[in-house]
Amino acid sequence: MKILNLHVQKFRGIVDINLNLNGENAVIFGPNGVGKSAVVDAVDFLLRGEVSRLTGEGTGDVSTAKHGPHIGNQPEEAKITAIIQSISGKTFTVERTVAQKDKVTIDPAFSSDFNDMVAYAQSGAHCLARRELLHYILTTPATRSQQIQMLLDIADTKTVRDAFTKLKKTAAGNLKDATDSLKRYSSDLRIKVGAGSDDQLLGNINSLRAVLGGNALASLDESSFTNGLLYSDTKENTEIASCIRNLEELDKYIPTLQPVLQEKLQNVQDTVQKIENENTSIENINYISLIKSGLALLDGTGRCPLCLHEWASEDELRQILQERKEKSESLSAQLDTYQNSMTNLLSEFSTYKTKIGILPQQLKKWDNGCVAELENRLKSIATISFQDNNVFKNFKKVQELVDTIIKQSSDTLLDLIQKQLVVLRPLMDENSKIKSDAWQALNAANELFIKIEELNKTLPTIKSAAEKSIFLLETYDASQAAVLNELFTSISDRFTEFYKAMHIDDEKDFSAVLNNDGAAVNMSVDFYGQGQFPPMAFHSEGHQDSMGIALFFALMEKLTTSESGLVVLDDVVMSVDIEHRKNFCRLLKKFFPERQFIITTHDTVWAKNLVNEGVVERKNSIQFLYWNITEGPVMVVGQDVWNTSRAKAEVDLHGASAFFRREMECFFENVCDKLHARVRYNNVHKWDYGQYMNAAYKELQDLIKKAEQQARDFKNTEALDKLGSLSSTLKTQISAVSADNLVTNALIHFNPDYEISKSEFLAAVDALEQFCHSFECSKCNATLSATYTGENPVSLMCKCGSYAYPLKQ
Amino acid sequence: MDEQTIQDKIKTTFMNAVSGSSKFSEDEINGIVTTISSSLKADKMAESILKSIGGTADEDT
Repeated sequence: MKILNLHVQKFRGIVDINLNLNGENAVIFGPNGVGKSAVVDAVDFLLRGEVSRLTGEGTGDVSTAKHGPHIGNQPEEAKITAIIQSISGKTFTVERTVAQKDKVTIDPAFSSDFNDMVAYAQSGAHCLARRELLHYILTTPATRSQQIQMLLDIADTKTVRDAFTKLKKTAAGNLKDATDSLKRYSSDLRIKVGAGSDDQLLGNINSLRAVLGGNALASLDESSFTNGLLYSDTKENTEIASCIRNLEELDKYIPTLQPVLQEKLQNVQDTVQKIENENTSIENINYISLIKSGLALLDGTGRCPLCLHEWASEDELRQILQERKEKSESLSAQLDTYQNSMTNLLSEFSTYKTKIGILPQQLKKWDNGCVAELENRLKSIATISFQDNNVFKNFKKVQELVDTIIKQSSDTLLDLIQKQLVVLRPLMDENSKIKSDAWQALNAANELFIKIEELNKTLPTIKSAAEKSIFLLETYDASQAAVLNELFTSISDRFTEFYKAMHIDDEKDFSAVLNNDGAAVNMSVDFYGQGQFPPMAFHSEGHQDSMGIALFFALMEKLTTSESGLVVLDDVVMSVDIEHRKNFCRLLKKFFPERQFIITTHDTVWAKNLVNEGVVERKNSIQFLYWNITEGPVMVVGQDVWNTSRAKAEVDLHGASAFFRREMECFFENVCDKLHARVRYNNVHKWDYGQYMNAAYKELQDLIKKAEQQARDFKNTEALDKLGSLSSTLKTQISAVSADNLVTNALIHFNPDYEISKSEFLAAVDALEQFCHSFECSKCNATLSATYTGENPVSLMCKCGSYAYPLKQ
Repeated sequence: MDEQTIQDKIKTTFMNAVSGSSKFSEDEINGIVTTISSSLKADKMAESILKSIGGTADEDT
């Protein structure tokens, strides 16, 4: 996606500006507070419906909705309109207002083209601001990881991994539940029919069938255990038999309850004792993840990542954190044991409740005091809540309740049960009771057998799902590691390549290593062959900025959208010196010729460099001169230095002269650079316009001479004529410029004794305009440049090839 | 510029490994790929995959 035209109205300090960018690179420059960043905000808002600077951490009550419109304007008036060209060449208009920031109007509707760009912008890859460089370089490995994950749009892979983790846990839980249930049902089945082992099941079931006059089954799965049996009894007999069975079971169970509870409570108490002996607060458990993160965040500087305390030795800090982590993990394991033993203790109360069951209702007809006692028992255990009892802090409460129950005498209940049985037993004859018990046992056994059969059928699937879940998680981890390792190797390589492109002169052997280590992205860089260090360890601020840019580009390149054409660079090279900025220009041209960069800067010289180096066409050099609340930014587009100087002279001659001097100094500095001109050295490394101009003139004449000698050798008369003409034009022009030099110098130094007239100034502008054009190709407007082999100039060139003169060696 | 997103690359690598493992039927593979490509939250995603691979526990258990 490229922006052909950007129209910003009543938005973030802009009243109304219209930028014809034609899908090409642009530089927006001017002093602080003139509205440059508002253009960045406008592009951001157009793509995302939000302004990054007004959202997120630290923005408080500030919001795009409230603070997006230019002050005094309504949200519906704040509007960004852009004519956009997609990578496939489609052109469409996109419009968004602050009033309806979630709605974007596209005409004609090529929604998918724009949506791809929006998705790309959501990751933040459309814009790099200087403050964001810090997130890549001067940061901890974990923060860097988060930033990179967001940019690469891989944060969502965590969701899938979390799903597989949850899946593994659930499937393992299901398998355990199914296995436990199978064991329990099998045990209950054996108890129900009085079998000591599975081998005795068939025999015992057939014995019960025989009681009811049934034939023997050949196998358990042949048919229902009650198949072919004819059994019936009165309702009352059935109820009496059920009461007797339940009372007899309870009678056997009650004496075992207290020792079992005592043993289970002891297990819990032992675990509690161990936890208390750990000499670590339970609250420390909550810090496990914090401590783990802290360990991951250690970056070799010896600084605590949380409180920023500087430790004399990082090893000491690491050891302390490691010890705390191990202590917390040990405590966590003890708590797991506690929870298991507490669950085991509390499950006994469930069994107790089940054993009492519906006896209080069943016994009402024949009650002799047993019902009230049973209800009291149920009431006493009902006070033990079965929710959250495994939370450690509730231990004392549970312990008190269990102690009370253990101390309760069983004698009264056991006595009442016996008396109740004495009442019930004579109510039905022994034979009927035996038959009823057999019938009940066969039915209950049959029900359990069906459950066992069903579980045996589903268990292989449940087991297989648990195995598959383990496989899925392991495979996902392996896939993620393989892709990310390859990705980070590739990012390391491109990062190194980009950084070296910017620092080819001083760090040609630079190397870097980025690796993904779980929640952290570690980064180390070579420092002049002295070893690998964290990027903030030895490199200067300027070098760190270059690293931030290189890493951003390396990451940006990995984004897959085909619509990722636009990149906004908001004041990103401020700590980079002029030589490396030129390399940065070459980097943009060499590696990203197809992208559209919108670059903002407050540095006029950098803006000129971008034009002179061919990154930005002069027509897309946009200067924001000043700002006021009623007009917003006042700008000059594609500044024509000559006409601008003439126009300025009409209103402010001294202002015009200062502007003109700066422009000329900038122009001739660039010419000197292109021609490799020799400016007389000084140790303050500062040269003025006159020094640059004279050096540029002399160098071009020398190069023309060498080119003429070569043309003469090859009898190239056409070249000889053209070069001769250029040389004599330059000679004539330098005379005129020198005649005006006094004027220009007086202007430069604001000589109070020299009152310049407007006509003198305009004459100087005219003379210099002619002279400057002689250093440019009339066809491509590029500044002439000399190419070198080693220390020797070999050709005089322009960009389009109109100038391509070999030089005599 | 890469042709696939990083997420897609991970998914493709993962699904290739799953498909080549002979542990899963075609229906299971389809179920997994549909689920991990969806916008479900992790919990629901896990539930859906478990259903696909037949590991849903019987309520009685």
